[in-house]
Amino acid sequence: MSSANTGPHSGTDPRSGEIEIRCDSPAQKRCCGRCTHFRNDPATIEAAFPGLTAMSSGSASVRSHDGLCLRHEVYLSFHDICDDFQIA
Amino acid sequence: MRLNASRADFLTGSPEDLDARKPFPFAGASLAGIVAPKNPIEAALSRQIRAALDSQPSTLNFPPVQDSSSPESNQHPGWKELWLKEDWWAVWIGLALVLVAYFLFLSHSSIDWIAVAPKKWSTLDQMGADFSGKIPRYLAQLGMFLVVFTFAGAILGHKPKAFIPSFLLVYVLSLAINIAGAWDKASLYTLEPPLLALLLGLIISNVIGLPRWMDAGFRVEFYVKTGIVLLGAGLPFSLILWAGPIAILQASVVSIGTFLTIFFVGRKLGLERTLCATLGAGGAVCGVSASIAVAGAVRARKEHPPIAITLVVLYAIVLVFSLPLVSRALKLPTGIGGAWIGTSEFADAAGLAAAQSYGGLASPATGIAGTADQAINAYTLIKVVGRDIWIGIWAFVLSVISITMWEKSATGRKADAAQIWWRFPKFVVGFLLASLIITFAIRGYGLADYTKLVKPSLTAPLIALRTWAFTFCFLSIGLTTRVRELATSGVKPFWAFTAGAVVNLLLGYVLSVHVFGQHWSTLGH
Repeated sequence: MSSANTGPHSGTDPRSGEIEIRCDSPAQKRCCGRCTHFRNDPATIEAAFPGLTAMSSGSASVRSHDGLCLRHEVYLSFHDICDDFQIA
Repeated sequence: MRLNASRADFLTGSPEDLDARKPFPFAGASLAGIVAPKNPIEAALSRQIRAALDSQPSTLNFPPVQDSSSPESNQHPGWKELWLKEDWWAVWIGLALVLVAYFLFLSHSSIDWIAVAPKKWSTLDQMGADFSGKIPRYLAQLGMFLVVFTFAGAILGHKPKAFIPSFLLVYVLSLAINIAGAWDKASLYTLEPPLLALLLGLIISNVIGLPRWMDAGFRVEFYVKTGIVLLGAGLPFSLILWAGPIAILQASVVSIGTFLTIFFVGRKLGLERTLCATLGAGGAVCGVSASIAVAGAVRARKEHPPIAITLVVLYAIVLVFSLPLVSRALKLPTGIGGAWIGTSEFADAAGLAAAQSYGGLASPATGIAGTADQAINAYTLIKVVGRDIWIGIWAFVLSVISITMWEKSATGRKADAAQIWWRFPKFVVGFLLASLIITFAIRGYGLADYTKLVKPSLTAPLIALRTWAFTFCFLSIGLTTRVRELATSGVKPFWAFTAGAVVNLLLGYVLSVHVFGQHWSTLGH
């Protein structure tokens, strides 16, 4: 499995040279929500999940900021993390 | 892109899990064999769903993820949700209406003029005279809804040029439905406005068809949440405090029983844990919303939420027609019927349609005791207070289980307790605040003064606006439920979910009727 610190999108903040991409939690430096593979805008979610708008919504609070990982094809939390992280 | 390899690395699950990809069991089978239609409306719905399902392909129809968006369009956590989430907009709009109504009441005025609704009618002449006399008020009401919803919708990302014509259609159809529902013989022909709205929407979307861009105005959740905030204005806070603990107890017993049934039956059938959890939450907590909340918390495959959505939507639509019919056949008092619907219906919006319909049947002629409000109030207490508000805790607990037991090998994952708040259905905040405001407003009034002064000027107009919001919602459910576009669920998920539905219905009935029957039948007395 590739490391987050390798490759052209290594997760390195170009401004500081360090992995300082934070989610809303100070303890979390990297997370899926900051990854180039992550999509969570309501329109994308509603298009991906047929029937969602019939009894819920892409803009519902219960969905928090979850989104789709285009690399692994899973639906997961903004705060999730994996070794394939690539900075957006 | 090594997509398949990385998925295999990333996810736990057995090859048998892919059995979820068998065709949906309804296809080619008789829906009537599962829930027998009891009246012409239900029969028509069953035929409609069956016909649509019969025509489904036997392969999965999950759409590919549209990658036209970019990471820049992602939404980030934080207090921007105050204007980026529908829940908060429902709170702002609902509370603004309650406060305007209260301040006008204090100045001896009322929002009654704009909270117009059709009067009961017996003849077409009466109906025509009532309608023509109220045209300016209907136009003003339409203008108010249009401005408020278009503004909120624009911030939520729905273009006004799509939202406005779409909402105009919703309003005109809702007006026709409410006029038809005001016919004094409507209940004899099962023409209660909620069911009529749902059925009309289903027929339009599945038989006639509407362009996709019109979905901009068919915002089921937005309307139902706004309606629930307004509903708080009709529910004294003391009643929430008095009945809330029983509602939580009853809902918790049924939710846990339903979730465990779906989860363990699903596991026994060889389904993935994440799919079982996604299905279980849909059946146990708050339908589609719970499914997607838990799917995100447990890192589900992208195919899992659509499977849960299909099952929740189809079961919810069957139950929205059948629960009131069964309750009516059993002559359950409205409070008990509302509690059962609140316990056993899967989705907030569909359950409200069922509860409002059942409440509308209360009369000596039908032999159903209680009031319309009792059905709605019992439903809301069980569904909103007893089930919905716990979704964050369900998601958090399941994410802890997922990280510590299901995916031990995944590195760096942590369960985030803050999700209990971020996933909290914020419209409940508005519901409780609306109840507090009105409870404060009516303090010191005796029953006679309340009936003579407060009700016509303050609470009745808010109830009328709530009814409009719910009609928009019920119609939008039908208009957005395109049966052909729902994902194929698979045989095993269907049976796992069905096992949970059976447990849910039976437990809900026993608790609502036999254990807490006295409590619900006297609710608010």
